[in-house]
Amino acid sequence: MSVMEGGQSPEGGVFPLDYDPTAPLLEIEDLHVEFRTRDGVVQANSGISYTLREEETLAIVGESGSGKTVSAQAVMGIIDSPPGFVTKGAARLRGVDMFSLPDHERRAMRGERIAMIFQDALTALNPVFPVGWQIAETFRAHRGTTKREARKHAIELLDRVRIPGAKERIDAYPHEFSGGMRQRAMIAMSLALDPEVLIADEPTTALDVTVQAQIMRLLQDLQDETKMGLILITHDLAVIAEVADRALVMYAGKGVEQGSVKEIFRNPGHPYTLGLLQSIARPEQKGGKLIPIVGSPPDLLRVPSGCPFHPRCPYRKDVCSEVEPPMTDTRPGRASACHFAEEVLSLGKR
Amino acid sequence: MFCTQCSTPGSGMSDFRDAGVQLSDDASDLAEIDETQGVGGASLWSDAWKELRSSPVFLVSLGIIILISVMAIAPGLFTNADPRACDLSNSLGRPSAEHWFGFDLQGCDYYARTIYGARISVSIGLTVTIFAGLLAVVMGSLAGYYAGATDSVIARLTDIWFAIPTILGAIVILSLLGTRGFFQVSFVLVILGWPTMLRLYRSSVLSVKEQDYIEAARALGASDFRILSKHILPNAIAPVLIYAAITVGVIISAEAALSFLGVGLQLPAISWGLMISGAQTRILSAPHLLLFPGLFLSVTVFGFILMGDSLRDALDPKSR
Repeated sequence: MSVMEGGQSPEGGVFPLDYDPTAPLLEIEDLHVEFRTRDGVVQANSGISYTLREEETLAIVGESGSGKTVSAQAVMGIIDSPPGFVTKGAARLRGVDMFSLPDHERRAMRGERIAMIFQDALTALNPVFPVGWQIAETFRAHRGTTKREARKHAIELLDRVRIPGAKERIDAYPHEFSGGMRQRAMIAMSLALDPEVLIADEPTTALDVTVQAQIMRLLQDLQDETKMGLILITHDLAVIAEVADRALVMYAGKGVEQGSVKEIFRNPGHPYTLGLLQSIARPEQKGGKLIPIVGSPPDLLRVPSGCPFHPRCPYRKDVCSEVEPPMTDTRPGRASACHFAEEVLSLGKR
Repeated sequence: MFCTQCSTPGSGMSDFRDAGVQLSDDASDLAEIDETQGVGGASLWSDAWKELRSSPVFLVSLGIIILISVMAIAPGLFTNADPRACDLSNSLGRPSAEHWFGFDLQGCDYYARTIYGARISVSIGLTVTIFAGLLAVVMGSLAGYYAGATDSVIARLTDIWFAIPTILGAIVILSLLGTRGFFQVSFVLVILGWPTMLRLYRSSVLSVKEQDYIEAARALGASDFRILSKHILPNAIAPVLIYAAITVGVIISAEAALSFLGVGLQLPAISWGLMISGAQTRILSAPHLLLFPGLFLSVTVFGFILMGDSLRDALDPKSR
């Protein structure tokens, strides 16, 4: 039996942290993350805030390089440091600020209360061990379960994520699984300890469309069973429209719009969101032109002054390059970081 | 050869199998089970083993190493003669039907001495490689996994150490020591021999730690020790293993060289290096004194180097 870790305090007995069951499940406040590189300081996240409630699915949307993944890694506490540093902000899980915890307590929370799944499950599973071993390992590491018990749990979990013939497949290696089954195995592994929050970082990007749908349905079903909060990081607007309750749109490391998916899709309150929605094909606009967002995302070493989106914004005014618009409430439960949010909203419903 | 690709299975055969599984949708996966199980769970290591089993180079080197190891463990199986029972009247006797390898200057049975010489050579080779390897894995893990100051200190130390020529350094240190037995010679060779393996393992760790499954393990709350021992080690050790096999051969010849130069083992130890050293003034008059220990030494070193080569082929199919 290997060295024990996690789950229990060194004194033995119950987890020592004061969780407040009435506090929001996960509350991120003014998160700042920077990477200190040779070329300068990259502000990967500057001032991300959101709240996740139980049973809720929050989508974090944005282009590649907008800081979606970094925000998740910061919350998980798995940013490579150096060069990455959380410089400001709080991440409260049931009222406990994870950023202020010592390393070993944070580690004990990972997997146990908050877990994460990754884009490419093939590379996220260790190639030299059977899938079942890796799932069982989570139990052994956190709970000190015996080998036999852990194996039994692993089979149950594979069953739960609907891998056919779990008993026979448990000793297969990751590369013997299909893409969809690998992602299922990854999900099984992250749900092993019943976390309250699951962060899914582009869980379906590497999969083909039919399998994507299956994986998303699986995640939703598991969410119904466990009441966990789900953070879905993606750039796939179709997936968001399908499964997410609320969305946070990110641009250049900042949140630019936030609100319920339905309302954002029907009536976007930020020119960037509007641009995103205009640039995807929809069946009802048959024959119409797609309008791309001009230009390319900014280099995070040289974020534009004022509103980071202003060089690409079709509605920009002088003030946009000078003053950074704060995130302000526009409608109940909605917020947008645009000087002209009202005007954008009044552009009408789609 | 930094084998960064070793950690990625699914080369060769398994690519096809993998593709086959991906084509099927999940509903028909049940039908696939028997097939994949039939092919056998193929990890990097079992793939490598399959390849090794059918590699003639590996089988030859394994044969040599087993033979020499049995010789080292149980020399009595090969000869009844006592290597230390010498009769001066046989001094420098030529090979004959009863005494295949002849006699040395002291009149000792040269065959028995050659057989008994395997023990110290092989033990020094293995001991030095194991200890240098352990040192390399521990320090290489620290240096590779914890970037920054830890890495800088270890890497600079290694660079400085690396600049000391192994044989020259060993000659200098050993010539300062009064007694030079198994322990002293091994110790000096470990001290001088670890930097290469450390550099290999460090660079291997550096590439493995960037893999997603390391991040995934951290996201599931694995401790640094667990990540280093269970996730990084099995994926990063291959280049070191390959190099270690070759190192055993290199160390055996280094021991012989040191003994030949008079700064290695001392009589009455029985070692191939010492035997070759004793032969150096009589190469023309009694060539058998050089021939037999030289042959055994060469074949042994050859065996370990072949082993390293076949391991490399099996663990890194792309290198061929």
